[in-house]
Parts: sequence; C-alpha cells; structure tokens
Amino acid sequence: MIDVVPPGIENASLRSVRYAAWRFVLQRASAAVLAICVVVHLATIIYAVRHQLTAAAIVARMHASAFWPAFYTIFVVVVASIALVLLGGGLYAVRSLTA
Amino acid sequence: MFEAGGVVSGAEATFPVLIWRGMADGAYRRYDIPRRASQTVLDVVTHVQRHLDASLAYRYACRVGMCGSCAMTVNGKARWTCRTHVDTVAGDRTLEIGPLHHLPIVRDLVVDMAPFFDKWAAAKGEFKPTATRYDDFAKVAPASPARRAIDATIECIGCAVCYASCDVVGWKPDYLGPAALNRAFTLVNDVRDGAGVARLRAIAGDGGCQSCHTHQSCTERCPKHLLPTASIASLKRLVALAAVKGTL
Repeated sequence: MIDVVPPGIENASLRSVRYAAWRFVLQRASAAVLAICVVVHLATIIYAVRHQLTAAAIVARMHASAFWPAFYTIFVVVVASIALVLLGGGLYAVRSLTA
Repeated sequence: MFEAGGVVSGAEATFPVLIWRGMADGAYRRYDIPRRASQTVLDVVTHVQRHLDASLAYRYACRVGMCGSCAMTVNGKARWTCRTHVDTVAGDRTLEIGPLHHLPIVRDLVVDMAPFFDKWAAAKGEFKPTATRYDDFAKVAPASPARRAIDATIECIGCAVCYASCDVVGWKPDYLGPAALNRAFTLVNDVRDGAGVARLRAIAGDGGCQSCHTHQSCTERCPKHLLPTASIASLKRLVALAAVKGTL
C-alpha cells in the first residue's frame, strides 16, 4: 500500500475521521479489558459464595492486598471509558442530525 | 413443488404472485402465473410483463448471474431473481416480489441505484494506478497473501443484495454499506493501487467500516457467497492500526 496524502481534504473532515477511528480503538480496547474484568469479578463472587465469606471478610481481604483496589479501579475506568465512547457517539449522532 | 393457492385453468396450473406496483406509496397486486418446470423468479416477472401487464417496470440484463441487475426482494429477502427458483423460495407460501430495500423506488420493481454507487465512489472504489502506460505489466504473485485475500472479493457483481439486506444501512443513511467497503478492501490489498491513506480516510469516518455491527446479513445473502463481513473486519483492523500509528 502506497501512502498518498489526499489533496484538498478539509481539516474538520480529517478530525472527524480520526475521532471516529479513535473512538473505535478505545471501544475495542476497553471492551477487551472489560471482558477479563467481568470473568475475574464473576469468579470472585462464586468463590465468596462457595466459601460463605461475609461482607466484613471480603472487605478485610480487599484491604489486605493492593491487587483488588487496583483491579476494581481498572474495572471502573474501563466502564467509564465505554460510557464515554457511547456518550460521544450519541452526541455526535445528535449533532449530525441537527446540523 | 410449489402448489399453494394454485388453480388449474384448462390444462395449465397457475399459482398466485404478488408484485409491487407503483412508487413508494404503491401496493402489491396479485397475478396468476402459469407454473413451469425450473421456473425462476425472473421468469415470473417476465411473464407478467410480456403477457399480463406490459406496464410493469423491472430491470435485468444477462439472466445468468453475471450482471447483478435483477436483484429484488423476494418473500422479504433480497435475492438475484435470475438464479432463484420459485420452488426454493416460495415453498407453500404465495410468492411476493418487491423492489430492493434501502434504495428509492423509481417504479414497480426498479430502484434508483445511484445512492448505492455513490457510496462506492465515496469509499474511493476506483482504482488509482501507480504505473503509466509506458511501464511494464505489474507482476502480482497469485499466491501472495495480499492477492489471496482478494481472490473472492473481486467477484462482486454489484447487485446490491448485501446493501438491501444490511440493517445498519437502514438505520444510518450515511453508512457506506457492505459492497462499497468490500470494494475498498479489494483495492487496499491491490499492490498496484496508490490511493492508500486517502482510501483509509474515506472508509474510517462516522459512516465507515466502524459502523458495521457484524450482523452478517450481507454474508448470508450474498448470491456470490462472498464474505463482506470479513472484508469489513479487516478494514476495521487496518483503520485501528493506522489510528494508533498516527498515519491516518
């Protein structure tokens, strides 16, 4: 594939293209991480139920390790980024329709 | 064998067919068609136009599955009518023939294909040569990965069955659609083509390849058994890679 810069493409149009491409990359990347997070989260729930852990015991274990706060921080960030992508897409669609 | 609703008139068995008449505000009209062996849907429409109602508008050319001009909606699904047998689509139901979805109706079974081909142009579906007439012929190894990737995609006949079957095209009028993206994929993998980044930009916008929801209706209904969904998935990867590398 030979790179040829298209003549006359408007900056606004190019920004829109790059924005759409980056939204796609962010959505796919965050979805991949989210899939792993959900599996770990479900496994954690099953473990807690099968071992009859109380809420206090779970919180204690959470505080005893740096892994779990880090894990759930990533979980929240990933969910927030997906929401951001969806919100961005929604706003873009509304703006396109009303333009 | 198709027999539902069929009546015997003299020695000839007939069966009922509903055909769309008029423009967007038109309606289906019933015709009783003589049943023939190995009858195609195009044979049915042709019989109506030649023997029952000469004002019926429809489009066809080759009748052998090469030109892509006879696609219509048959019992709710877009199909090429010249290679679709009545037996296989109607079963025990009435045969219903309408214009393709997602394209403006000109009259009866004829749709305006301009929006469909405009999107081919928008996706930069034309070949941009890098050589001149004075250069030697390009040597493309048939077994090279880029050439093998487009062994099937070059067989698209532009019938618009995939376009009419795509839900995203219906929801999002700006979406380029499976055929235009399949064409872009073909050219992206053509080592002789020089439109590189320009074409990627053309198919990476809001109505580009990222809008595909991977429903795979295009792949399921393509009469040539192509895989537009796979072409679009490859384009998504190329666009993502270019965005990350900063070359988009």
